[in-house]
Amino acid sequence: MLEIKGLTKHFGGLAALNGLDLNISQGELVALIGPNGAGKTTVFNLITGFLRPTSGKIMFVGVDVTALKPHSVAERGIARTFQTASVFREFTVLQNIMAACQLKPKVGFWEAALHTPSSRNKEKFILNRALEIMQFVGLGGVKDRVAQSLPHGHQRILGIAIALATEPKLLLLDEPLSGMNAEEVNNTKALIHRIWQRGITILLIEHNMGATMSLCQKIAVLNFGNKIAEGPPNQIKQNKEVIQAYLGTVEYAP
Amino acid sequence: MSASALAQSLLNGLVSGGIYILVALGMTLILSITRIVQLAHGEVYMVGAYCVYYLCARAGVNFFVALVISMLLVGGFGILLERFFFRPFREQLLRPLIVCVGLMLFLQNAALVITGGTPKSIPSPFPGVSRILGLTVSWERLIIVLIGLGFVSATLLLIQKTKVGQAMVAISQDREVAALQGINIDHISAIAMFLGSALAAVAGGLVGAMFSVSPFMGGFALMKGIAVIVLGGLGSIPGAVIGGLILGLIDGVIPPLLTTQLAGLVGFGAIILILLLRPQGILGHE
Amino acid sequence: MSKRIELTKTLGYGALILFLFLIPLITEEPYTLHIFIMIGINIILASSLRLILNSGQLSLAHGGMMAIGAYTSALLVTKLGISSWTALVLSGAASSSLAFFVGFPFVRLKGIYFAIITIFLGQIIILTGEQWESLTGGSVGILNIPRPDPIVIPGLLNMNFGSKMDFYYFILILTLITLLILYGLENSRITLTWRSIQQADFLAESVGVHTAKFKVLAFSIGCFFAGLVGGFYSQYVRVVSPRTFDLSFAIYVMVYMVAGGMGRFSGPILGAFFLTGFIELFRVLKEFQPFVFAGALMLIVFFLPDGLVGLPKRLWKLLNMKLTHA
Repeated sequence: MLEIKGLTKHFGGLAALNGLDLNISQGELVALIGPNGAGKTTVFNLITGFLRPTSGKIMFVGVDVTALKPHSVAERGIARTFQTASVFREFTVLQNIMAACQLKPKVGFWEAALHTPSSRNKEKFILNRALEIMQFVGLGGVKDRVAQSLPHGHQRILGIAIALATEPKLLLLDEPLSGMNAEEVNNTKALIHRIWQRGITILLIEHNMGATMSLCQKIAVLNFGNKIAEGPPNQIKQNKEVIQAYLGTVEYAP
Repeated sequence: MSASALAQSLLNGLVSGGIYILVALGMTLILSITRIVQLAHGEVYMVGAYCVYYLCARAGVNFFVALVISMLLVGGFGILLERFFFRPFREQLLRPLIVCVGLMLFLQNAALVITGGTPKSIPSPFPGVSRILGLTVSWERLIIVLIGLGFVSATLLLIQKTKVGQAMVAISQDREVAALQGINIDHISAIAMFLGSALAAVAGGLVGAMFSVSPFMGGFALMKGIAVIVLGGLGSIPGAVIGGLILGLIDGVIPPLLTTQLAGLVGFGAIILILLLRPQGILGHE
Repeated sequence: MSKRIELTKTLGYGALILFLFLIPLITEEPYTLHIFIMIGINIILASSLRLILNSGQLSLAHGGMMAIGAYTSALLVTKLGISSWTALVLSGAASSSLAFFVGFPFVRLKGIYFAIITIFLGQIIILTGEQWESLTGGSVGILNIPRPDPIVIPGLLNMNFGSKMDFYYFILILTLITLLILYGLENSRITLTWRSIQQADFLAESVGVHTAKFKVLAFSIGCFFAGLVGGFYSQYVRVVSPRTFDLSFAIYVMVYMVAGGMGRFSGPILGAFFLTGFIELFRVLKEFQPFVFAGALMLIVFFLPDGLVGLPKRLWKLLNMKLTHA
């Protein structure tokens, strides 16, 4: 589904990413791990069009999406979450998700401006979809709370709901579990699993090793912009290079 | 156009350029560190000009000394402005603009009421002309170019070579990171305001000597300052220098060259064309 | 919202609008009508500025955009003899076309940088007006602009725009239409999208919003109304000169918006209403008026963060505090 070939990104003289090759098949749940600064978020930014690669190609369902702008990438079916500023702070939870329902259906300028019956039908549809997504992610109880006032964990989940609103085929999650307590981690893990069961392919960046190992079937490891390993969790756990890369960092917890 | 006329135009262009750079450099320092568009910068320039006028024409102080005193006074004034009018609205977009308009109104009309409004002239400190390379050049213009050059160079050196200057660069690039590295944003903001306002005062004094001093002279300076920072690069200090030079030379050379109606617009027109292709200016970052 | 409250609100607005239509019959004093006309102009300007702000951009080119509209109407009517009504619409179109033309490169800039470049845009427009004498009449401008074409409905209506009253109704209808359109947009998905861009533009982009397109859209629509009101202005004052529309003008429009409150639709309306009145009231102070105005600006900025719309809430809080401490 997602084919990355030779993806490279240089910032000035620094190579943030060096010739990454990665393939993700439909229906997989893949993790991208590595120490801080390894280039993981850069990969996300490149896939979703927020950064232009120095060289390399990204193919999605057979289409070259390398040079597309982020909104076009979203139209193609790739959605993502963000680590910081992951929600629309001044909107309520429901407004957040409704604002994110931009693609299916698309509401045109004139029908929206003139409040035509067709646009009102679309809005009803969008409202129902938003409510459904809200329930699905477990935020049903805080429908009218302003996003800013939510605890951190809920905000991250709202970020996931926002991404789901685009009905993606591929979902990129940027550290979905960071800053969460044990209970929130479990809930979010379950949510990710539910999303995956709905048939959405998932690529996630995470530092929480325990959760990553138990969720994913395949893990790719980056270090200093290079992929140093790829394989199922138990293989990665024992990979010498991976252990070395993490040695000296506090992140590694088997 | 004859060679000597061209040379004269170039010199005029350099003089204009020098003034533009002084104003724009000050605005850029203030903008990149306090994130505020100092719309009252023209009025600060005007206050500097009046300081020099009163010291020179009324108190008989030597021009250079007056310039320095004016710098210190106006710089101090800038620090007060930052502390009481800008700091409360840090990180905001609209309110600082309104504050600047209030200051602008206040200063313009205070000057009008206090001085009566008729333009005054600062007696020329350097009368006479000299002959250089077969051209007749007024001492005044020459020395003003040198003074301008001097202050600009001093400022650039300060930014490059001192800790304070480096702190300014750090803040202008990334405020949060700079704060995390222990840089005292409040102190540096005050210094930036001091420097920026002082440079404006120098520009005002020089223009007052070349032309005249009036309560509304600031509008022109603000307009040119904005044009320069937009051309040279928003938030870029070297950009202010390059932009000022380019605009000064265009303004010096084009109008005498083309006597059409629109000659005065060529400078601004060129800038707009550049902006359509590169909105962040020559050296700006988006 | 309950049906009864909705009904009361609608009736309230209806009564207000009726009252506005009756004002020229209550007072025929031309100066009072002039103030109301200026209020109408400023309401349109401040509200359209807020529309642009809703998409996360502060435009300080509104003075210049109004100038474009004013000059377009003046030139079309005086030099090409076009009907003043057509000229009015074309005034709006001219400004919004310019906004669209420079829009895509300009909206790549964010926050204060966009504001600065719009300052520059406004300045260029004024400068062009001053320098291109053969077209615009230079600093003096265009004089003796004819009155708007009369509206005659035999037996019912004869507006020849010889009196302030006719202009009052002209701007009243223009303002009501503008507010209707803006209100319709305010409650549509378009404003939801704009506001999502305002809060987190990369997030909006990631859910499929073509943020550049929407920003240019907001800028163009906002500038349309600035141009429209510029056209009206040229037909009302019948003289256009460049300096009227300088940077200070654009900032005053921003002040009306901020003073009234940017968060609510009614904010700019209140701000324009109260501040226009304020300025006129204090005109008698002559050379001290700018000081008073500057002082008022400072008061608003320091003590009214939410603008006038936030005043009831603030007073309520203050009152509550006093009562609980009593």
